This record gives sequence, structure tokens and C-alpha cells, in this order.
Amino acid sequence: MQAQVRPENILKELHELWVSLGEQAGGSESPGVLRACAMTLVVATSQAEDAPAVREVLAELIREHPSRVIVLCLRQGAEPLLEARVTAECWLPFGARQQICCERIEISAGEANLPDLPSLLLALAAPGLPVVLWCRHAPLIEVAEFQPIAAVADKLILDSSTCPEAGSILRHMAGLPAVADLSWTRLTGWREIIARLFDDAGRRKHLAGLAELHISYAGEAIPVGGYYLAAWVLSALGEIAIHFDAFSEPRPSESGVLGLMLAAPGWSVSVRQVDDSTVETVVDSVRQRSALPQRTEVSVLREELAIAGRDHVYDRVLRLAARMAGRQGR
Amino acid sequence: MVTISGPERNWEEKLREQNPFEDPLRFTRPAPPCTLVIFGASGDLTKRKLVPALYSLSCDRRLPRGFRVVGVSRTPLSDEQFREKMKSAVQAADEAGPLDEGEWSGLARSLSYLSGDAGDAATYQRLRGKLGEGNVLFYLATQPSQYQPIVAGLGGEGLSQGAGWRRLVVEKPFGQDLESARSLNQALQRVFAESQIYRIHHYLGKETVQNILAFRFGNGIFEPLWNRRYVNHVQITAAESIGVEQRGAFYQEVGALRDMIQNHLLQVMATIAMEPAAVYQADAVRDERAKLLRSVRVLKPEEVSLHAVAGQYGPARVGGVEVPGFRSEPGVTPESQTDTYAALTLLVDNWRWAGVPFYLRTGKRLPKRVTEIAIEFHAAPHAPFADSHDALAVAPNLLILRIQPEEGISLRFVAKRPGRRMWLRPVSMDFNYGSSFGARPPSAYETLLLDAMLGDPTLYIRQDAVEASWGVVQPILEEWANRRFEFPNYAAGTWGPVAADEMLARQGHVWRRP
Repeated sequence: MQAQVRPENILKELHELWVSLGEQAGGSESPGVLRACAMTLVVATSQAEDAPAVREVLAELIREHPSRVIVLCLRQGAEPLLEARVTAECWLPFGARQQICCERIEISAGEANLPDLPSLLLALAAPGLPVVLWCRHAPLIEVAEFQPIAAVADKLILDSSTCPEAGSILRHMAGLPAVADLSWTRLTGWREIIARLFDDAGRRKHLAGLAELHISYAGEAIPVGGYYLAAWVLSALGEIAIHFDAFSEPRPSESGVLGLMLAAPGWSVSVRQVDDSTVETVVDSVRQRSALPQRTEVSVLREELAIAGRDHVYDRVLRLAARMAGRQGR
Repeated sequence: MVTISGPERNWEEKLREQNPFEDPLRFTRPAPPCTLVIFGASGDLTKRKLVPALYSLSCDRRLPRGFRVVGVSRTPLSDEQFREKMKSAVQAADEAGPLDEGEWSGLARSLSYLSGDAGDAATYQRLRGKLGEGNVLFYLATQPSQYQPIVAGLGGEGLSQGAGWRRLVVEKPFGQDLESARSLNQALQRVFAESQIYRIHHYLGKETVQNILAFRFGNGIFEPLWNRRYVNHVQITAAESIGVEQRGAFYQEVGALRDMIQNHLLQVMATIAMEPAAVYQADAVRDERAKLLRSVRVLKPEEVSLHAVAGQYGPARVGGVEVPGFRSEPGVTPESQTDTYAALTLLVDNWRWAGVPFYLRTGKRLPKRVTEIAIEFHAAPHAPFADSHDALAVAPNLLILRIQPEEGISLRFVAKRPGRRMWLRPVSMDFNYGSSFGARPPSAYETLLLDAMLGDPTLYIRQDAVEASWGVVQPILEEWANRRFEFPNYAAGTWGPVAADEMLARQGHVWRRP
């Protein structure tokens, strides 16, 4: 049997949903409901057990980034499957009289129906607004049938930490037009702590003579975050020639990174994770501890959704990280 | 002039000038370590606005490491008593949310108190002992009469200069008239350079007022309409439903024109009507605001009665409660001639706005608390829908920018009513600023305090803008000072005196009911 979903039926259901929400709000004195939509947020997930977690994340996200949400539940198996249902996510802001609602379209598709999705997404995307695709399982992006789906998005958000091999995903992402990686987003706190160390012009003069960059990481192989951090330092310094090495430590880390050391002749600076939420910096023999709380999935996504255009710093870092991972892999 | 660039500067030079690791897209710019000295630390402003704003900044991790607050006031208090008072203030504040004991104890440790008289040199000697050499932000949250003695005291002790930066935040009112504003500016500038002076105007720190600039200059479709060819007139309303409460004695000396129009409404008008700045940077934006204020036509004495209306509320029953007239409020004299309502018609003498009236009104004891800007566009030049005899059907387009209470933007346009006939009705397209972005917007004082610590005066007012706005109201103040009004001339709970309606009617306009 042919699985079928007609976009015009979904749009009609959406329209009926708004009529019904308006009626439920009811009464001539009622301010009704406010439909809020600043983008189309497509979430692609390939694992059924993800559904409750995704729902919770989206419920938080849309309050700051009201969107038409399209959840693509991609199912394994050869059986044809293409189903859709429409709901609304509503909330009453504190102290407000009017409910705010966002549309949510949930599409379940089997492997055989992946080719049906791009045209469906094109029809269902909110007109004139950006389309952001959050691909919760980064390995999906390496699946050939998924490429046309990703091509619909103006921005693709991945989480490379779910990929087993850094070099492969970095090379793949470097070839994509507009991509963001939550592994990079998780490094914002690290990078900010490092940047603040160099607000002092006296310390910056040592950067001209920088000779070594060491990264320590959790796990067996250098994680994507490790390449990112090294590539960020190098690209900020104009890709100077420097000795780079990385070594593994038997400790866990959310971003995969455990520490960084920069050394010039007679001078060094280091930043090292002490526990889940603290790092220690050592510079000019002064030790200082700073808070570096773990980032939730919501907080990193929120940071990415707030960036509407290109992140040129990340674009440069991604290209360099892909090159570094390629050299390291040889 | 031809500029020939030299050889590219070397890497070391670049490193000296800027941090190569900076990422403005992702990083929040940190405020440098500093001490905030609040004069008037036991006063109302400190309790209601400043300390709750500092608490919110602390919760958001926006205060710098080593941040300290020194409260200065005449009331004898220990550090601990000061902290307790401020804790109660944060608990009572609407904007700060529920108090988190852990967060508060972190901020409380940074608070200390110095009891002293503003006119006593010993106060500043002791303050010097507390400050050391770092960055200092002095905040004048006192009565305006204290500004000059405090600034002189700071200057006498050499506290306006130091190893770090020294800045001075001054609260409105900046003078009582043009002459006193100039005199205050001179007194401030004897001790502090203009670049060190931050004249705070909390309206400019409001998200929605900043959003006016985003709306005007971030969108391509509105700016082409933003001129005399398309705009018929502009109405700026700042209405309060309350009376003078316990501030009768103070308010009697000030009045609505000085209290609201000279600073708040003229600044809002400048934001609405200014030319686009080339860049969103302090001097570029402030140049344009000041330029607009200098373009406002100053009324001649004989024009004042036609283009300015003063009002004072009388007693009435409002919502089932008897409310007193202004003259019966505590601290107010029974023959008071103070304006609790003021409305003006202003014209801007430049190419963009020539001939477009800007109507400004403010008042106490009006029907509701609302601040908004209504921009009415010219009606369609020809109405082809013959059946639409209803005046509503040909209502001109109206753009409403609401500042409070529910910040947002509405556009009124005409649409066809469903049905067989071509009947038109105005409909409204609404954007609700607070609801459409879930994040809590920072309060005006959070924004402005942080800006002062960061050295960004974009949202602060420069001396020339202050004097230009006084220049606009000065002839009205002088005329009103020589007149005897038949007060009260509007009942509490109404939209002001009839004379204000007549002022618009002469131009063929009516006040919008917000």
C-alpha cells in the first residue's frame, strides 16, 4: 500500500486548528490566542525513544524562538510509512492575558519514504521565514537520502558529539553551505574564559612568540571539540606555525575537552577542567577558578537559534579543524 | 583630501590593540572591575530601581569580578543595616523576581555604606579611603539640589580622576529651566569632562524605545513612508492613572511639562523623528537626536496659548472611589497653579517633517496608564468603494508603537468584511513584543547601569540635547508662569481638558483614545 500525506490537507488541518483555538479562547472580551512564528524549525530524529526528550526541548525553545515546528520521526525498515498529525503548543506568559500558540506538525516516515520529505517540507515551511533543521543524530547527515532534506534548510544544526569519528564528520560538515555544530556551541564558555585571559594587552604580547599548543581530552581519540578549540586558537592567531599535540586523560568531559595550554619561550597559560562546573586557569603563576556550568541541550540550541546569519568565526574554524583532523588521521 | 595608507602594521602592533580571541557574536562583553558609589543610598530610587537592577545583573552574571557598591547618605546606618534595607527592597521590587538567598548573599557582600553629609568635605575624604585607585562610577540618586555640592565635593577631593576611569551618572531633572540646566552643566563640567558624564534617562533604556530604532532602521518598508508625504500627524501620549500620591509637595514645584514633556516625551519624539545614524554608536546616534531637538520649532510667546494646553485634575468618582483633586492632595497648596496635564503641538523645521504636527500629551489621573506613539498616515487619496459611507471604512492607516504597559506594535489597515457587498472595516495587525520573545527583557536600569560600566553612552543624554529640549519648553514655561489658569479644568478619570481637544480640532484632528 502506498503511504501518502498531502501537504494541502495538513495546511487545512492547521487552519482548522487555529479556528478551534480561537473558539476555545472564546468570548468577545477574550484577547483570543496569539499565533507566534519567527521561523520553521524542523527536527529530524531517527530514534523513537527520543520523542519525550525532543518534546521537552521544543517546549522550552519555542518560548524564546516561536516557530512552526516540524518533527520528522525517521523510522527504520522497508515498510512504507508516511503519516502526519497537527497539534499546537500553547502557553500563557506570566502576567499576560493572551495565550501564545505555536504550530507543530509531526511526520513519521519510513526509509522508503525519505524521498517524499523534501517536497513536503517545502510546502509546509512557514512562508517567507527561515528554515532551520536540527538534526539530532549527526550521522544522519552522511546518509545520501537525507541530503535533499538538509538542502531545504537555511541553517543546519548538528551535534557532532554523536558521531564516532571526528575526521569524517568534520570533513562532511566543511562541505555543507550553512552548518552549526552543538559541539562548537558547547565550547563558548571555554573560549570566553580563554579570551578574557587576553584582555590584558601585556599578556597578548606573548602570543606573537607562541610556540606550543597542547589540548587534553577525554576518550580514546581527539574529539571534534578538541579540534575546534585548537583550530580556533590557530585561526585567531592567523594560522601561525606552532607545535600542536593532544593527549587523552581518563576523565569525563561534556565537550570532550579537558584542558588547553599555550606556551611561548619562558611563558605559558593553561586552562584546565577541575570538575563538572569549574575550570582553573594558570597564568603568570596566578591560579584562578571560574565557573563553567554544563550546557543543556536547550541552552546550546537557544544560542544557535539566536544566530540568524553566518558565524564567520565558526566557518573558518570548521575548515581548519577539518584539515587538522585529516592530517592527524594520516 | 587623499589618504595614503602606510605599510600594513605588524602582528605585534595588532595584538597590542585588540584581543584576537574576541567573538562578539557569542561572547557577552564583560564590564571591567569597578566600584559603584551611590549618593542617596537610602533613598527611593536606590531601593526601587538601582539595587533591584544590580541584583538582576548579578543573577545574570553580568557584574564584573570584584564589583563593589558604596552607598552614601546622611542616614546613619551600619553596613549590615544597609544590606538588610536593600534586601527588603529587592524582595519588594516587581522587576527582580523572587529573591534567591544564595544570589543575594553574593551581592550583599559587595555592599558597604558610608554615612555623611553631601556638603561636608570629610565625607569625601572618607570616601577616598574606601575607594582606592580602581574604576569608579559615581551615581547621583539624590535630590537635584544635592548635585552641585556632591560634584564639588568629589572635585575638591580629586575623586574625578584616578588610575582607572571615573564616570558620573546624573539622574533627571537636569535643571528646572534652560538657565539652570546650563548652570548645572557648567558645574558638572568644572569637575568632570563631558565624556565622563552620563545623564540618565530611563525611557531611553527601555527595550521598546530601543526597538523603535530597530523598527525604523532595520526594516526597509517603513522608512520610505516616514516623512511628510505619507505621515499626517503623530501623537505621543504618556498617561498615568494615578495622582501625585505622596509626592504632592515635590510635584507642585515641577508640573507635567517639566516632569514629563521636557525630558521623556521630547526624547521619545527625537527617537521617532531623528534621521538615521550612519552607525549605531554613541556619538552618531546622539548627534542625530540632538539635531532633531534643535529642529523643533520654538514657540513665540503669542503662539503658546494656541499650541500648548495646561491642565489640572479636579475631584471625581473613579471606579467607585472618590478621588481628590490635585489641590486637595497632601502637600499641595489650595490655589496651586501647577499643571498636572500638558499637551503641545510641535512642528519640526526640516525637510522630512515640515508641516507635520507632533502632538504630545501627558497627565496624571487620566483613565489609564499608557505610553504610546501613534503615527497616522494620510488617508487613501481616492475612495473607490462607493458603498462605504461609514467613516470607519475609510479610516487612515495608523501605526501604534506601544511603550507600556504591553509593549508592541500595531498596524491598522482596512479590509473587506466577509460578505456579498464591498463593505470595509479597519482591522489591526498586532505584534506583542513581550510575548513574542520569551526571554525576560532587562529593565531600563539594568541596561543603563551596565552601559555606564562598559563606557557606552549611546542611551544617555548629552549636554546639547538637554539644552535643546529645555529650549523647546522654555517659552511655554515662561508664558504659563505669567498666566492665571482656571484650574481645575479636567475631572480625574477623563482624558484631559477640553482645550486640548480644541487644539487638535483646529488642525482637523482628534486625540486617539489609547
